[in-house]
Amino acid sequence: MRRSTCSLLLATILPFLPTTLRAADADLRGYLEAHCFDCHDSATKKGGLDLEALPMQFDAGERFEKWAQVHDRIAAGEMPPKSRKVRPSEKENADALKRLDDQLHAADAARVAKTGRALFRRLTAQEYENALRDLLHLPGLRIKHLLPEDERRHGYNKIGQALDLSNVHLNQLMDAADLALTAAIATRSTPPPVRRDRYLAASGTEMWNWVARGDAVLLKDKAFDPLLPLPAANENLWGAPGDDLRKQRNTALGTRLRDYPHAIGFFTGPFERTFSQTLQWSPVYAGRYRILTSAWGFWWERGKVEPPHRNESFMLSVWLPSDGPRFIHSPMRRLGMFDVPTLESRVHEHTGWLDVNEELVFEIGTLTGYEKNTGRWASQSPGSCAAHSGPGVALDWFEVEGPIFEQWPPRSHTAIFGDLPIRALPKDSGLVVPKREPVRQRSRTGGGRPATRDLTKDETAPPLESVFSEHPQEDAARLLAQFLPRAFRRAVPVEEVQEYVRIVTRELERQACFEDALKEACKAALCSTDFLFVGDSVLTDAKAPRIRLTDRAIAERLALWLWNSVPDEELIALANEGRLHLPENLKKQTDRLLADSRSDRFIADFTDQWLDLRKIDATQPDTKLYPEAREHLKHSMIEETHAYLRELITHNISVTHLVKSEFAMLNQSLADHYGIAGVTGCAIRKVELPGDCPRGAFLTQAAVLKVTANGTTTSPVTRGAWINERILGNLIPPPPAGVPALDPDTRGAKTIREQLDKHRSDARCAGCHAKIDPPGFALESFDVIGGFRDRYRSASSGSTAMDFHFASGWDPKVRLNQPVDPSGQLPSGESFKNLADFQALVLRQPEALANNMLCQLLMYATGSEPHYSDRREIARILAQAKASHYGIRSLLDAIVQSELFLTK
Amino acid sequence: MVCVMTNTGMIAENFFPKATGKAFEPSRYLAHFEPVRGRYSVMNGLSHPDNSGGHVVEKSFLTGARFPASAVFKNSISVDQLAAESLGHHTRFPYLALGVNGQHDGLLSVSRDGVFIPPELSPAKVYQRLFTPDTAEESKQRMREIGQRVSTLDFVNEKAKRLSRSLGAEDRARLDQYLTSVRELEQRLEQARVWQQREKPHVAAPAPQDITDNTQDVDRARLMYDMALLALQSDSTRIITLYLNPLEVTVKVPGVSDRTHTLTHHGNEPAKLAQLANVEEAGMKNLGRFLGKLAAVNEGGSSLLDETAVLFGSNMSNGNNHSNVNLPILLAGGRFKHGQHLQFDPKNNTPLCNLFVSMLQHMGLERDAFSTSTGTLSGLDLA
Repeated sequence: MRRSTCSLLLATILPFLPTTLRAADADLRGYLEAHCFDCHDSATKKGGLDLEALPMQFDAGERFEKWAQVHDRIAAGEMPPKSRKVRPSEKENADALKRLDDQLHAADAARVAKTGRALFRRLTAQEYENALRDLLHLPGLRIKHLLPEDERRHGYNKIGQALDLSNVHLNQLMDAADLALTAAIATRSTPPPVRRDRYLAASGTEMWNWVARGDAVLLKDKAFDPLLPLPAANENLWGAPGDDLRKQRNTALGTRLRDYPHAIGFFTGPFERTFSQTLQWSPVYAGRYRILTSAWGFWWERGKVEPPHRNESFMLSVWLPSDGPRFIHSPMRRLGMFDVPTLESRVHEHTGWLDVNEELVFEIGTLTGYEKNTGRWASQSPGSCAAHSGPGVALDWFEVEGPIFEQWPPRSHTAIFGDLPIRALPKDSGLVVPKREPVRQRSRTGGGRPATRDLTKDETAPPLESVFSEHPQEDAARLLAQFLPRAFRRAVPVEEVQEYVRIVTRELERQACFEDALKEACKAALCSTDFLFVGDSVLTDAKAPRIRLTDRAIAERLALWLWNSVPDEELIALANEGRLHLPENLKKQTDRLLADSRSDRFIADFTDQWLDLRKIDATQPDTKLYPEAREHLKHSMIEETHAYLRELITHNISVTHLVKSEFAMLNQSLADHYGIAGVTGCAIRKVELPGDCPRGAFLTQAAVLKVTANGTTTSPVTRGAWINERILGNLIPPPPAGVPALDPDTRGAKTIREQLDKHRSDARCAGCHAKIDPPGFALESFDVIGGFRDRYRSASSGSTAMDFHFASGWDPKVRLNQPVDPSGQLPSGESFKNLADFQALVLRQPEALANNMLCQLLMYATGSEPHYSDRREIARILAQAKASHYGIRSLLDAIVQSELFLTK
Repeated sequence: MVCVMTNTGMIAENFFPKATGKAFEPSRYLAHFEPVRGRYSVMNGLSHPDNSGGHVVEKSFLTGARFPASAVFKNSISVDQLAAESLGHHTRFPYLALGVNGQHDGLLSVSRDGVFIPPELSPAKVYQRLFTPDTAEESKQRMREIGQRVSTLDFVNEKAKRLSRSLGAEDRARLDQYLTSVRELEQRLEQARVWQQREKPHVAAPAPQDITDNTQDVDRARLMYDMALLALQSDSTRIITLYLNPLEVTVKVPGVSDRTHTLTHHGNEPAKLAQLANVEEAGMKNLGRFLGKLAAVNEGGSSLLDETAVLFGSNMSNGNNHSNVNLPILLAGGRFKHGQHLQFDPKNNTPLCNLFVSMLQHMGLERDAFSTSTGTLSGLDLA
């Protein structure tokens, strides 16, 4: 009923519209009447679309979206449907599309001219953390976990409409700012003492149980050390029945292991279970630490040490800080992976920031599994290590040096307090005592090093010291005049600095010491919109076709994009001089930012969002069906995708490489997983692939295949929709209400293709699923962790047993069931037999891939949803980029110079 | 009001009794609720309209906002936060958002601006906040900190207000959220200042120790239920949400050897279904225990259970196919006429928000609508 009222309204308005518009509308209406109204008039309304009643008005909202959809479906050749006999001529189509496009473009451009594309918005949680890390020179600062997770629009949390703020959130931002400032401020006049300690492998008491059980062995001079004899062939060391024997062995060892100077060798059980062991070392001070590890690889043959059969690797990780004891599944972050290719001891070095109470963990990399309770250890079989054969990694010792500070007080402190001295704060000063955290070993793991008793009195009961100012008002003014312009990314006038100085004064009047008083002023700055919000907020020349961004806003955009953080001093300086927007400076700065290691944050964050890599842990592979799944493999998968994107950007490689590649970024774990020979070592490197190898491109990378599956089963619909939206650029509408959910049956009676049969046979489903499903079917050749398959795995049914080729010969009893059918048909009618065919079909339209890549980058870089009036500029960029075969770097550079980037 | 959500779904035939109406034989899980028989109702055929997408519906479980799977989803206020807006000021804590195992895809309590309120995951911290008295020194420090924060908020407010004159409409909306947040936070801090000067309630139960091994999911959840009980008993709050997330872990229950999420994708394999049932049953036993304990607390003639409406449910019904209709829902306590298994149309579900309206009215709010509701829940009457 509303629609006919609209038509009536239209009829009354029409006489008053300018004649030119009416003429264009009349032509357009003629086209619609001739080619669309048979199905889409008010009487029939096929698919719910009533074009007869849809007014030719293009204000934002549902009406605009509908007209845009009409345009796109005609442009794609989807409408009128192929089944229609009388079809519009090419010229008729072109004319209609042009009229519609002109209207849509004009209406959208008018809106964008008034409001801009991107909103004035707050920083995301990750941007906030990075900004504080950069501003305060605290590379290891962790505060993101204190903030709520940001919402997303179209998959990106960079889009302003997604970034809301509540009082709860604001409170947490204030807490985070406080924590960051506390971490930055030095509380001693001299640096904490640097320790350099070497710890023998057996010095950590937690290791002893492994040795007693026979899951680890003492190795002297690269051979078995009979200090603790091998168990007899029938001796059982596992569980309750093994209690007595283990006690005996423990007693025999006594405290002899405390100073044991040789190595401990660790191996994995028949199921190649995870070996993950705390080194019982946890820093008492936050700071930079240099960690050296001496380790080597070996093959264990029932009591004899032999050279390793291949390269293995171990991982050095840290448990995140916790008030309580930590376990194998406690949250961790990985420091690095290292190779042990031979019997020869190798010393590996890692230098980086460690937080108080992070705890070092030693993990065997290439041999680790995941879930604790489905595996078996050497000790679980009679004879324990005496009966075991398999690969192993041996640890000689590890050494930690730190905390290493380049200067004292550290840069984090001088960024706020300059070179003001730090002095004793007399007890009778009458001032409120600044908060001090007691210095001690906080790890709840027994025997954590360094132990509190190993610390000096000066460390555990230090004199109360704090930064001292003789002339607080002047010092505050001077220091804030340094701090605020960096925090606010602009010049800060004297009057504004004075406002913050007044905070210092207020606090001093409340008996605060200078340290706390200036801290309060900085905190206020970090909670103000000047720090927290980005993007221009000022409306400029109303007559301009778009609102040009100030140089400051351009600096913000560039840094938020390529460093996921706020601009540094060089960018701010260029912006302050008003020269950043010049094309040559934009190019130079893009080069500089991409060459800086901080651009790794962009690679990580962009792939987290565009390719959903942040969901890598959302599901776990079914341990029965995928016993070869490894923690080490998972880390390698992420590295592969990061390295691949970096490679595409650095060498300006064509966008076709999203879909197909002649090279891959691999390490040993990945190469094993993909069945590619000749790759040794845990470092990721570029590998040329044989011609028929499907690997390399994003489409067939394990990380992508994992996040588009659910750990147990794959779904062509999930994967198909994902590929369509993220790679091909086709927007997929949500399923209609009332469609019953699919009940996957992994007993294998029905293949997924059989279960999805209705997508083809029912015309109502086929409309969308003809587009959604095909890429998913092509990828059915890859399982939930991205391994290749031509048959589905099953725990219960199937004619063949799957051979995992485990070094130990263990058979997890997984069966191979129904064959995989990766064939399908594109909406155009072209069919493909397998992934290779599908790739070839997609690659015939590289412009479509480039268009999508451009749109994804634009959403991330400009923090705006795609707008209709973006299209002409996008087309221009694509025409230009064609010359470089749509190289990714060329696309990036084009964006930086584009009006879409340089306007609000 | 207590709202508990588990994100696993429930095996329907173990949760719902076979018969509908008043005289039903308890189902396998409900057999553990004998001590509170007659004081709860089970509902089948409820869900949120336009809510599908499997796990993502967690986001809208207490809000009913439509299309949570959409790329442009905008959440709305959750029923507990709505109640807290009007009734929260009666207690030290307007509400308590609790959780076990942190977030999966979403959280329970949503503020008016559609922002999630992160739950408190540590029972020890909950106890500390509610009961551990501050020393005189700590109290002084807290008052000082509150004072400082209020001053800072005043300051940033002034600076931000100057901005708003130069903004376009949409940008101003973003800034307005900031200004509203500042104002609301100041109000909360003022209330905190008042409460800081009052003594915290005293409870006999000692401070708990957090269980950090997250495979001990059952015990961790039980501990959090205990904190919820203490909070209600001491009138520290009258509104609690509890988010249970067993999906992420392999729960230590006899016979279970895989992560709950893997078990929910059982593909109808009997072995997996059996394990899943054990996990779900353990969770239900926790709930039954909680209800029993509420019933045992006397509040001058009636029990704490009689005064508190407790909602339990999941955002999914069948975890295997990620269905979001015919959700497993149970309401216990409050002054409702209980003891029934209500069956609504399984093909054309009744909005879950109807139950929320009933719950809001039970709390004394004069509201006849909430989000996608069409009225109160028919068949559920006050005694």
